[in-house]
Amino acid sequence: MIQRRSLMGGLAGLGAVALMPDRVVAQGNTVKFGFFGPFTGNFAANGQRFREAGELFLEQTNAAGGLAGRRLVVDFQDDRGDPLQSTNIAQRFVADAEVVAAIGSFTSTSSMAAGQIFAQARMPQVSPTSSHPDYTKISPYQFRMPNTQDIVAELNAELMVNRLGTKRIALPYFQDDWGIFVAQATKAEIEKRGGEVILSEAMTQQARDFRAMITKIRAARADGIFIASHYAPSAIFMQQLRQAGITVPVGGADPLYNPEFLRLAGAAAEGVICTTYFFPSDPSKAAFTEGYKAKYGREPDQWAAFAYDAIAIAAEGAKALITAGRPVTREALRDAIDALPPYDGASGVTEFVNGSPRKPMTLLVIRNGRYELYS
Amino acid sequence: MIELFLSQLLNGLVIGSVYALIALGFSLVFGVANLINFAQGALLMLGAFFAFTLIQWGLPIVVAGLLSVLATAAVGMLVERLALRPLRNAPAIAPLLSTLAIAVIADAGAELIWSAESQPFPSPLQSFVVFVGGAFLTGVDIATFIVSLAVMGGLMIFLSRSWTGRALRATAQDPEAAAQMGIDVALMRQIAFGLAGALGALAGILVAMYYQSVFPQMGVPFGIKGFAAALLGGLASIPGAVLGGFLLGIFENLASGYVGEGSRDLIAYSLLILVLMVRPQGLLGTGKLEALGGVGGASGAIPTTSIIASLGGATARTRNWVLRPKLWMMLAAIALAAVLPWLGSAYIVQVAAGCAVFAMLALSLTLLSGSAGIISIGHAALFGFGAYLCAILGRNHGWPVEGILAAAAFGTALMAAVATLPAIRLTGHAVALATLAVGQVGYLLFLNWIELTRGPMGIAGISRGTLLGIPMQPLDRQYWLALLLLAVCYVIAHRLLESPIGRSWRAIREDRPAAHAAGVPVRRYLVLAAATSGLIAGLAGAQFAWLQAFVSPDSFVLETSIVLISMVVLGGMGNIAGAVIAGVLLAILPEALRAFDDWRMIVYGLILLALLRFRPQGLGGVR
Repeated sequence: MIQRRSLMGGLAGLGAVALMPDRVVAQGNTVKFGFFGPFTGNFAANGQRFREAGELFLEQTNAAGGLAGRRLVVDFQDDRGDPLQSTNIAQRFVADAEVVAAIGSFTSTSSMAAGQIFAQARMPQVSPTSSHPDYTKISPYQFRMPNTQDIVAELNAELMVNRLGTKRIALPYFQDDWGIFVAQATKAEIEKRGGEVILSEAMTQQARDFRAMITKIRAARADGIFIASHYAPSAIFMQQLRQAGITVPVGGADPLYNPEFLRLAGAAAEGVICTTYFFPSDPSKAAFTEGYKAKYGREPDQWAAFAYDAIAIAAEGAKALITAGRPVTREALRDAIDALPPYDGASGVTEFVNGSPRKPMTLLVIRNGRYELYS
Repeated sequence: MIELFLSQLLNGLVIGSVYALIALGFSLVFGVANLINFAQGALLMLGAFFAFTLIQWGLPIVVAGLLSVLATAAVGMLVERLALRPLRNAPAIAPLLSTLAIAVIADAGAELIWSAESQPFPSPLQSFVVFVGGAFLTGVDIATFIVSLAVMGGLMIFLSRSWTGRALRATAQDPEAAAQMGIDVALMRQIAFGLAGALGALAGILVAMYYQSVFPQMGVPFGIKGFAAALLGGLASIPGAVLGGFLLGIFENLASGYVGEGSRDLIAYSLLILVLMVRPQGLLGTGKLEALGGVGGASGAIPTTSIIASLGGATARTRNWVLRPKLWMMLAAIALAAVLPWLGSAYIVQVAAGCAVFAMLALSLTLLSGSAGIISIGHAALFGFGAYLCAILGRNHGWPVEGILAAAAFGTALMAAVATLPAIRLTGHAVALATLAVGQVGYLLFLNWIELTRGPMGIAGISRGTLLGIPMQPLDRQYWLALLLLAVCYVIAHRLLESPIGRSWRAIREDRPAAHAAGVPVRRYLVLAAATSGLIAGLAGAQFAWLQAFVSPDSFVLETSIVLISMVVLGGMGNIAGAVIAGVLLAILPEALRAFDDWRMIVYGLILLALLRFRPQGLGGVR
């Protein structure tokens, strides 16, 4: 696999320059990006999708002749979701004079800790996922792929209150920065539309037993549930909810659009409605979905789509510079990314305003073990 | 609301029976080998994955489960072979760290073999649901409960009636005497580990059925809870482990029901601290043996109250060479490190600054755990306290750098003295539990006290300010400040350890009653050790906050505490020069091993294992 070194390779490399950043011998004309995320550790299930999407893009781009004739090179680094490691990686990328942009990371904590270093070095950073409001406030050098939560919350509330007609809503959320912001913003929007949030409780990061919450949801006579959580705990939540005999309609945030959610939750997932940026049955996404399926043997998920778009947008910026005959420097690349025309990628159309996009989202419903467009 | 109460009670009984199984594994190994097996959570995870793979191969779930229990029992025996047997004459804490290294390898290995993804685990019984009023039980709950009770009953009969069971208990009581009676003590240890593996696998399969999924990190929370349950019941007591498991399960479910899911663990750990303050030996543990150094105390050459006393009194074979550099040598080494920025790589400076922070933390912890003998698995909370003080005072209240340094140092010192109070009258492994609980409470407060800490959102944009008129924004200056703080802390630690204070700490570590009898005011000295340790940890925390310009609870998790205690053990308990070296080494390894890619954490675990194998008393040797 590209850029993926073996154990023996590691042993050989270790002897020589253990702490020096990779000095790739300049092979004529190249453009180099740094790409980091939690490829191992607690968030590895997400981080590995990142790397797969990054490797796919790299392979496809170079097979198609590179970026306007220049070869793309990517330095993949694992931060384990640990902010200390992500700052080390950030300095490593910054110290490598060839690296002109950084893609990463998954958690807002890691992205933001690294972000201040990129800001100082004036290197553009495109995070595939970080939705923390403060992330793009670090500097003009930060970009992200998802919408900010206030936009997402409007759709969430519209689904629950206007489309499903529920009035007494339970709102379990995952206890990370993303979950807290989704819950806060969605609660405010629901109340604005005349609904009531009767229970809003955190799912702690390692918890997989939600029966206490479910008992309370039943006791509070909720008529609808909105889950602001990741797919693995949500799948268990759905199973335990249906076991308890609660059949009220359930809506969910965008991470519930994931083939793994169907696999894990099985029949309990039936009827769940979720928002999404990305729907692979959409023919315009074929280059990504078909390529991904061929290379990894499974459907891509939203994280892969975000990561693919993140690196694609940085590459698009570099291509624009090269075609205009300008040198690809870090600062020029930031401006080029910022000035890109609306980019139609796997996760929807991205146009940055202060580093954040405002993408259209669609609603999906799970029927007969498959996602279908909800209408 | 009787419905909620009943439902939480039932949930608690089910989860509690799983905790009890894991706690039994801890208790068996502890009783026989006097060792806390930190790989217990990893065994649980492996058991679940073995069963998962066998089911994928088409075996029925019962057969797959039985085979997996056997396979995991074999892995348990392998853990004994790798972690314990080569280190039999080494200080007691070395094998403990070895089991940790094995857990790191197992977790990383599982990610490589089965991928990091959650996978669905077939659970045919799960669709069978019985309603009891408003509460409900599933088939898996009933099966879990029955299987756990049957296994616990079987285990008790095995231990009390069979010859092997009696031999196991004899080994636990007095290995020397047992050996003289012709019992193969080494075999008994292996059997205890095998049983622990089997119990872990069983718990793992039950958990997998309950969640209907398996994932590589599934063992971690259960390992911690099982450990806590074992300590709650009285570590060496088999009925205590069962009782502790059930109580913990019921209590945390009630907390989750009545207070909220977010505070489940906060309340569980606070309760643990309270129980320990009232009954330090655990609910069913006996206080009698405690005077002789706990259950294992009778086996040592000199009865003592300290689990690490065997360090000081280590056999001649391991107590050979001790690193004791002169003060000026260490200061010169730190001064030499100050030239790094002239190499011109900000990456190296960033890594080196992180190393300096961890060197300070290792130094801080080796005073408390190494010299004074209060084994702490919660040090990350003090580190975090310093970091949050810096972030909140600096960002929200505009304090100058000088003021923040003073506040972080003295505030954290005060906090450390207070937080260590519950642990001070404890001895043996109860100290480890108390500090673990305090550390978890700290982390959970960082996470849940959103008004103050912003919880998982973290605090961003921490300004580095100016120190004595010098702008501190450049990384090089932060690095030099870190080195300066390290040097100052090193001098403080060195002076204290060379003074009568250090001698008193070591006396308390070696034999608390003897120190007390000789007129050492034990409590006062321990508070002083905690405060000094807190002072250094607070400075390290503040330096970390400036370095990262961002703090969030992610940096102060249990794994950080475990890495810190590993640094202390690896450096040699109470050896400050060793701690600094080990701190730098363990902080740099994950960076230095980047070339190994996915194999990185496995290689890290192997290196840790090898270092302990060849230098069980630590790199610097015990002081």
